[in-house]
Amino acid sequence: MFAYLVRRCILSLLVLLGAAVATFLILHLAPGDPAVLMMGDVGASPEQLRALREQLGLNDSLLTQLGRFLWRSARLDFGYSFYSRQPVATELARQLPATAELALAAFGLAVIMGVPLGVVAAIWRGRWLDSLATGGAVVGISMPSFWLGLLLIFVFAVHLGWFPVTGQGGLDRLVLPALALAVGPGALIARLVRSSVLDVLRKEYVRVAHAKGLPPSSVLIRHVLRNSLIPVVTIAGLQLGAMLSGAVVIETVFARQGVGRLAVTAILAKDFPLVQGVVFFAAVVYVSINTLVDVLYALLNPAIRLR
Amino acid sequence: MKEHERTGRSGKVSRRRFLQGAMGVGAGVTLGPYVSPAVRRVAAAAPADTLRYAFASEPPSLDPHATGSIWSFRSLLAMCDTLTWQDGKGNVGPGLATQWAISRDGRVWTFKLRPGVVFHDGTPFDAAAVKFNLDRIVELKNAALGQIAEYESAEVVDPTTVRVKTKNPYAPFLAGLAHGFTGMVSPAAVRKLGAQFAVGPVGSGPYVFKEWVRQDRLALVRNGAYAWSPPGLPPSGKAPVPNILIRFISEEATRVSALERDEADVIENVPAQEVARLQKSGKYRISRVLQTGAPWHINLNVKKAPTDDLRIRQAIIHAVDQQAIVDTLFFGIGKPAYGPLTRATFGYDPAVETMYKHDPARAKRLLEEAGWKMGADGTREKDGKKLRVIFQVIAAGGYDSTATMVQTQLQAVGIQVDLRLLERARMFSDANKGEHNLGLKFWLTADPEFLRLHFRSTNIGNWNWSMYNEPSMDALLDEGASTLDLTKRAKIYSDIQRRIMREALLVPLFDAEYVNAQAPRVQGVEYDRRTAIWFHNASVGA
Repeated sequence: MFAYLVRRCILSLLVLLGAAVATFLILHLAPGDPAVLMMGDVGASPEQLRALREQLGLNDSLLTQLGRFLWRSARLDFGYSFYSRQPVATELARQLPATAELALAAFGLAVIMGVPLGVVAAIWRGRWLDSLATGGAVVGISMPSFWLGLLLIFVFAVHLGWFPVTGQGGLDRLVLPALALAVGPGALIARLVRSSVLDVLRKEYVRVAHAKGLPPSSVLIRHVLRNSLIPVVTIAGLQLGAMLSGAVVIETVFARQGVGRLAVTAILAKDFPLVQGVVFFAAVVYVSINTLVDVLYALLNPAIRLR
Repeated sequence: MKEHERTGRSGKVSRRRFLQGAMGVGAGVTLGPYVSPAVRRVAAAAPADTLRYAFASEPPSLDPHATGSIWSFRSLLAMCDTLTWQDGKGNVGPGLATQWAISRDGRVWTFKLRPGVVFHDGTPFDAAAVKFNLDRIVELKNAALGQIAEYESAEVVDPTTVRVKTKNPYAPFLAGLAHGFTGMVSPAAVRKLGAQFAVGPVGSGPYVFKEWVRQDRLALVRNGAYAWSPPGLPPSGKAPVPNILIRFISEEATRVSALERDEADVIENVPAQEVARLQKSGKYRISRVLQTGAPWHINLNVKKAPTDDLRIRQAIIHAVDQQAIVDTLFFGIGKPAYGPLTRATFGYDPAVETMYKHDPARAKRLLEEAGWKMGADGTREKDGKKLRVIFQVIAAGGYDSTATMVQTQLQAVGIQVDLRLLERARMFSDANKGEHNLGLKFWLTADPEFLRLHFRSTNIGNWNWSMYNEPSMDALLDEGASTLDLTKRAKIYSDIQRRIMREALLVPLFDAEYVNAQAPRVQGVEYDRRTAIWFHNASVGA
């Protein structure tokens, strides 16, 4: 287990390096000049643009810039945002609480909605409850989250007046965005749980458990669920990763703080240091969650050993 | 829904109702019990001491001298005073400078400064501060420098007198000094705060910066020491509203919901399709401001075939139906444009209004004259070549739909449009290279001097998207910038406008409008034609 974790860490560092270099290259090779964008809606003379590029260090060769960027990143220094002139780490840290809050709430909701729905559908396979659950899941997966978000705002905030429309802080401001964000992943989890449970239900050891005369509930929980959750954990982990690295659409619709909006604003403005910082953060989130998921496998199923 | 009904209902039965609804959507079991107290709190009335404004975007920086963003500009006049003041009609009057005189050669301005003004940190505003600010604008080389491009140096004569030199006689100088980007900031605060200044500026305006929570809000508090008022605004001194809270809500439907849910008192950039409904509700006041600068327009590249042919450029202008674009895409928000300047801009010459009109038959004749015959597929041909133009457009914000409509209108006279929807950064770099025939943009600024940026030969590769290179036009544009006599100046810009249209360098589309919606409790929020917001006299009722 320990050797596995060490190896895993080294691999993770390589992944992070790859992500950093790829982001850097994509950003710098894509057309568009940050200086022109910074001058914004007013326009600037060529001399002004040259001076600004110099100030931002954009006149150096690409290799010099890459070297400088990697050297700094190695010391976890992502530099300063072109626009706000604030440290990238500070900018990111300010958006994290809102993102974490939303991600955890939505993830919790997705699991709470998805797992029971999937189990119910599998047990009553082919019956009307199954049709209802699977049908609901299809709707949930296909529904665009921005549309659902606007619909929730219209019904529960504007029309009924139960929740505020925008912002963060307080459970009341969390309910609608978390729900809008949870429906898609929740539906996905439901479908996955259903097929996974159906798979396990056909296994011989389940028949043996029944034959031994174990009560159905204990067969379901101890034998069926535990074994069918393995693939679900993988997908749920990826979903959590996606949510933690920012839910752009939901953050925008509900005018919430968050890493996702920060990333999009930075990308559109070609705020290189900020984009690199956000992508690095997202890479760290994914790598850690994947490692965590692998460790969870072993805990869920002792038959799996980490080597 | 009336206010008291809503408050009463959620105050009494909110929990049960909440639970019913939340169960319905599947989350009630887990969250319901915790949420109901919060629901009651939400229904509380709007704060009586705070004006809540919803912006469509967040300013990237609040350092006036280090930003080019229109959202910085809109918030800055609350915090920073300017040397001069441009009123709602575009006239320039006294600001922090009470009077001024200009030397005979038109290059030296002597400003007399308002005595007794202090910055929010207590630093006195004086001639040395003016010099510091103007030099800082040159040093930072950001958008502010574009407002006072010909500034050379400043000299402190005495604490309330400053002498400013420009490189050439420079007509837009006074208007440039009235721009939010050239606002005066505290030299002491700049030295002390360093990079932090961009996230907490210190000016001398009617409001003091309090807090900026990124991606959420900007909070300002009233400056109790504010003792004067710009011309045209009531001489109120201290502003009526104690607090201003600016929220950043980029999704337009959410902005409207925030207004209707009483989470915002004023929202900007009201979506065109919602204006009529909000107006009809009788509850909200809609303000529409016709902007100065350039209308939405399509630059025609004179260097690239086939738009290097004057007749083809003229045909394109005749083929485009401006009114249809305004009515169909923008629900009547905006006014059809006829030339390179909007009708609200200094020097606008109505003579351009009769130069072209929507006339597809005329467009077809011009194309025939140029030798392009209609082909079987509805696209014209000459010497085996199709009549095809490349149209580069930013893939956002109404640009794309406008371009699509123009594409249809041009196809109707036999011009095939190869539409290239580009991301903003890509658009700017590509258009500057001149790979387009058509390029769509608009320009928001106070003074017609910007035409130099758009049509002077030295700005090919920058903003001269028509790739126009004519020494006589360059001379005329320079003359417009350096002529201080307003009547003569207006005449020069009239020549420039007619010439641009005679040469068919652009297709004017429409003058944009800055549309805001205000809740009934709001009074006195005003706008100028550059879309700056004046909070000086704003008040909120209960």
